[in-house]
Amino acid sequence: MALRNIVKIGDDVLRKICRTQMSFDEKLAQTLDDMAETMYKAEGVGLAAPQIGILRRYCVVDVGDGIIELVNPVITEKSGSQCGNEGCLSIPDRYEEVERPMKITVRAQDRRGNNFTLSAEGFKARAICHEIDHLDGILYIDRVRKKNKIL
Amino acid sequence: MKTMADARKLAVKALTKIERDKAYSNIVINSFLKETALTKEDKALFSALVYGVLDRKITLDWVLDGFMKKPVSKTSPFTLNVLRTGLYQIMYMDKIPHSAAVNEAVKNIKQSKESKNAAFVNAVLRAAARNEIKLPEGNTPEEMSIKYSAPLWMTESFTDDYGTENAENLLMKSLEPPKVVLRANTVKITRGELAGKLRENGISAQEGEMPDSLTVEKGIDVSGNELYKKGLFYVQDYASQKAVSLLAPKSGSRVLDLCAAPGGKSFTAACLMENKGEIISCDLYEQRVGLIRSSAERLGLGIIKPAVSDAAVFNPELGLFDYVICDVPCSGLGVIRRKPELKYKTVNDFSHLEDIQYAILCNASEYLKDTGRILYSTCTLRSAENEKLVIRFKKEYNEFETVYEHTFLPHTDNTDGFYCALLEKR
Repeated sequence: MALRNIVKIGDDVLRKICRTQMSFDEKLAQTLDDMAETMYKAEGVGLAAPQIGILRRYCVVDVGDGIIELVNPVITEKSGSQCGNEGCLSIPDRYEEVERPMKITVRAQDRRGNNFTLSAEGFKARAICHEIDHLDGILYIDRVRKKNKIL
Repeated sequence: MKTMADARKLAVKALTKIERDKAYSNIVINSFLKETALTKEDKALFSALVYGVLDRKITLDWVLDGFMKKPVSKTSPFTLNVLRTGLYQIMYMDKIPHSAAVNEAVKNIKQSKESKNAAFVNAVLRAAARNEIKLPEGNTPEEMSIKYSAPLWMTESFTDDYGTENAENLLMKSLEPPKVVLRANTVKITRGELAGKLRENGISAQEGEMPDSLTVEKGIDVSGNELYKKGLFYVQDYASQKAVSLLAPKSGSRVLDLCAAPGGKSFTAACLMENKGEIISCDLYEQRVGLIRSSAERLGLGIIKPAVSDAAVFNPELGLFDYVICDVPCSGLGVIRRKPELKYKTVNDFSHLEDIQYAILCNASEYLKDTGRILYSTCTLRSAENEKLVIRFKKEYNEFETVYEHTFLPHTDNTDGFYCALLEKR
């Protein structure tokens, strides 16, 4: 395992739309392991592939109840809403209020390519939405409600 | 996504930093609060934990020692601060369930570099939460040291100087949060008008014991206030206000404030003089003189002339004065409730102070006109820096007489611990 560099805001790579991950090989497994290690070291609760400079659709999330690896994730259902502070490992020392769905259902693949669905609510749903946004070049600051916006 | 900062985790980090860098608690706390996003509740918890652990560290370590096989001194600083923060919540924070205090501490240590200590932290804190914690009940210096979380040299010094009863009462009082005392800038506004304006700004202020003073609860940020920026008041404890009012500088006179920064006593003198006359406010460092200058400008007290000057060295250019204020650098034992880190110094850290204080007092006498008055004051409770030093001075300079002398004790005077002597040249 190895630590990866986390790309910081201002780098174009954070604004690109990522491509589908096609191969489920040793290289993917290695990258997912590295991402988890990098995330824990940075005291994060989620990290997406573009944040370490890889333009592919996968991310890792751990809000304290174990690691979740999502490859090619798609949100299939959303309901309710919640407002809360978010920060991002690519945007140091800033936290702002973002609105997110309260509950979501996600369809994704694991590191071997097996399909699964996952339901999440509250903070976990927030973290997953935040990471999936990264795969489409969206940062949480794009979603900050106007009146609270600092940038 | 980055996790929201955790108040307890942050408190442990701040405590470890304060210890490692020997930094001032208020500076570290403020920089942490600025750099991390915390909710209002988490900010309050964070500050309460850092100040609380600093206040009670000796007590906490004594209790922890009873639940640990190896001594507290052999535990790594980070792990020890996780334990102290957890135990503080168990012993002193009624609103936090013991289980939450333990679980959060274990979570914190698990996520750190010292995760190998997780089982140890869990065992110690669970034992502390399960058992009734009994502190010593007596009032020997050793017992008071544990009970009131003060170093032994301090409880011994208080007992020697003021007797066991006073020592115990003032140690007890030193753990209560101090009130913030404001003084109205009477050149611009009366106390009554100021209280009204503060109320309009949502700050409730009670009339204090000194004629121009108001008190507000700790935690209210008075300096961010518009009224503060307009120079309608400044922060100053009763004892300092009282001391300057006893000096009673007359309007139109010349006053020298030898150790003036941040300027409070000069400001009070200027108010009493109705901003007529001249006050030279000195400090050794340009940066601190700048503080006096900017505050005097804010308050519109034009008679204050800030100057960089060494209080212990005679400067004939300054001329002669009707009044000289020497609020000398001191060990600060009267303000431990405001600066809890002072508790973790040793008595040797203060040994050089008496010579400096004496030199300043002697130098002050050189500036005085005949029948002029010196106000000598400290914010400490150590006779060696207070009455004993004044006695020594009067032996050598027998033209001086004591007009007034008082040691303000927190539990009897309801002020910071403070000493002042008014000396008149005869």
